[in-house]
Amino acid sequence: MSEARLVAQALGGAQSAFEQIVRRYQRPIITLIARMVGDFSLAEDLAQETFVKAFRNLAAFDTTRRLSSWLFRIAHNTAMDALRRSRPPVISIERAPADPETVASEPAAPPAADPVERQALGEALHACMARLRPEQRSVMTLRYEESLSFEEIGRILGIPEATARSHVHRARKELSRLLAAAGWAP
Amino acid sequence: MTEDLTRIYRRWRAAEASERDEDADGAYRELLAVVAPEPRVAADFTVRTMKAITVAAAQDVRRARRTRRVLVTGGALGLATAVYFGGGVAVSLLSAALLGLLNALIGAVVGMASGAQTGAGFWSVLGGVGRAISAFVSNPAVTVAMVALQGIAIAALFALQRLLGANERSE
Repeated sequence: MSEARLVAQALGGAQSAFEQIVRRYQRPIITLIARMVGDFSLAEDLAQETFVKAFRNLAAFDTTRRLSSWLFRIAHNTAMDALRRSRPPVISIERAPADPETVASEPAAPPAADPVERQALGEALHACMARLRPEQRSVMTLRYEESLSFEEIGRILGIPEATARSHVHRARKELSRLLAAAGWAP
Repeated sequence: MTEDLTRIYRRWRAAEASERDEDADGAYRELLAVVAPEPRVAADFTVRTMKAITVAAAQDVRRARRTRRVLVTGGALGLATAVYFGGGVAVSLLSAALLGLLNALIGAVVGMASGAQTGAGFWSVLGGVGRAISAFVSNPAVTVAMVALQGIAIAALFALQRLLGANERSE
């Protein structure tokens, strides 16, 4: 069923239509928030808050635009609000070592051979991601996990396309630098 | 696969080091697909979310009813108070305005008639009518009545809009 039709049905009072929207977007929304706040159970709570906000404001949704962009925007703002409320920010990405500095101080082998190494690199990436600013984590997730264009990212975050491109570029460079500092040689 | 991982990782880092943005973009995407699994969503997430939405919707309905009740009660009380305390003033203002309007009309008619009788030109007749209208508008009682009427209209529109909004949310 198309997005516009689902939205129209949800606006007409069909909760089953909104349930379909939740099912369709829960994974990307939780992923985005989890990457931003670094706590999976908090991310689920915030994702729930995101969907409740979306439900309450569905009438304000412009059906000529993409529903996913609108939901990502609400999710981003919800996560940013949560981060602002919980200073100092929660930064302990799932499965990552509690202290990112530990990662930086322990020399690690370059990515090699087996699934353990693959997992180690994955964890190192997550740990380094956790050291980026929330806005940078957000653009990285939208770009590389949700495969969005820079234009779409810009629309979601309310910034020009060129700025979104520059944010992603800087965040990726920073990630590369952090990995190098953690001993993951090129 | 693991050799691929090494290759992709090196390609990304090399592209990053040599400022090849497009290559780095593609390589990092590939790398992430290999090493970073997506978080698993709890099986009951949808059910929990829909329950939260049902609760939120019920809260909205209650809030809308409360708002409507407060507005209706407040509006009725406000109206009664306004009528009780301001009734006399309003009647005197409205009658002054009505009187002023009648005077203006009479002045305009008399001006036109005398103008026609004395053979005055179109512009002098129009000037007479204008004088009658300006005398009406510059009357302080009329001005106050007009401002009061506008205030009442704005308040009524605002209340109506809030009532309709509350009604919409409760449906």
